[in-house]
Amino acid sequence: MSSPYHKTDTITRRIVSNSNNKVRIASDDYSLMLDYYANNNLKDWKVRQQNLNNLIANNAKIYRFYGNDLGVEVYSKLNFIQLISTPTNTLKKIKILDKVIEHGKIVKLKFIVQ
Amino acid sequence: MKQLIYIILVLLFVSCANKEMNKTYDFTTESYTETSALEITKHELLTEKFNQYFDLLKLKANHPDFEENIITQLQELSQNKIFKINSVKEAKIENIQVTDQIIVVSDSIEKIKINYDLVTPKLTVKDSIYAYKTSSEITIDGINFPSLKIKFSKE
Repeated sequence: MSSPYHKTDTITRRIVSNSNNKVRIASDDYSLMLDYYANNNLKDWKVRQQNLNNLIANNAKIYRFYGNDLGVEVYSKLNFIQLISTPTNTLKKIKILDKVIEHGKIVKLKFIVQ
Repeated sequence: MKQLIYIILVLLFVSCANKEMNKTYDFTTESYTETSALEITKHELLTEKFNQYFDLLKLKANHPDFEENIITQLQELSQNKIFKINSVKEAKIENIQVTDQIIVVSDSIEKIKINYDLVTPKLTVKDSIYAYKTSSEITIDGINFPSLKIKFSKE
C-alpha cells in the first residue's frame, strides 16, 4: 500500500490466516508536517498538536535511546510533541520502540532516531 | 501413500503457521537489543543534533507562522541565546566535524568544539560552534542508564 501521508508498506498474508484481520499502517509524520508548513496550514497543524496532546498523558515518561555508551535522553511531553510536529530531518528517522498505554493515554514511550 | 504424504505435509504446514501466529515479543528486551544494535557514537549524535538545530533555524526563517513552536525548541537546544546565522534561508551546512577539543566545564558538563562549512549561494565560510554535553544517570524499568542533554552555544 502507499499513500502521501503514510509509509509505504508491503503486507504478506498466509493462506491459513484468519480473514478480516486488522493491519496497522504507519503514518508518515514528516510528509504530513512538511505539507502543513509548506501550505502555512496552521489550523490543521494545531489540530494535530491537540490530538497528540490528548493522546499523551501529562506526566508521560518519554525516552530517546542512544545505546549503551551514551544512554538515554529524557523528553518532556511538550518537547516530544514539538519534535514530532516539526518537519526536520530528525523526524524522518524516528522509530518508536515501545509504548505503554493506560486509560487510553500513552504513559511511557521509548524511541530511537535511526 | 501419496495421500499420507499429503496429510503429513498439510499438518506440518499448519503447525508451523500456528507457531508463527503464537509468537510473542518481550518489547522491553527487544527495545534494548535493538537499541544496542543501532548504537550511535558521540560524534554521530552531535552531528545529528547540530543538523536538527540548523533545520530549526532555517524553518524559523522560512516559516514565520510556526515561529513560536520553533523558538521553544531552539531555546531547548541553546546553552544561552539562540544562535544566529546570516542568510540562513539560503544557507546549508556541510563538512560537520566534531573535534577532539573537549573542555571539561564541570563533573557533569563537557564542551566540545564542532567545525563546519556554512555554504551560501555567494560564498562558503568556515565556522564553528560549541556543544555542551550534560551527563547524569537515570533508572528506567530498574536498569541504570547514563542520560544526557545537548545544547549549543557560539562560545
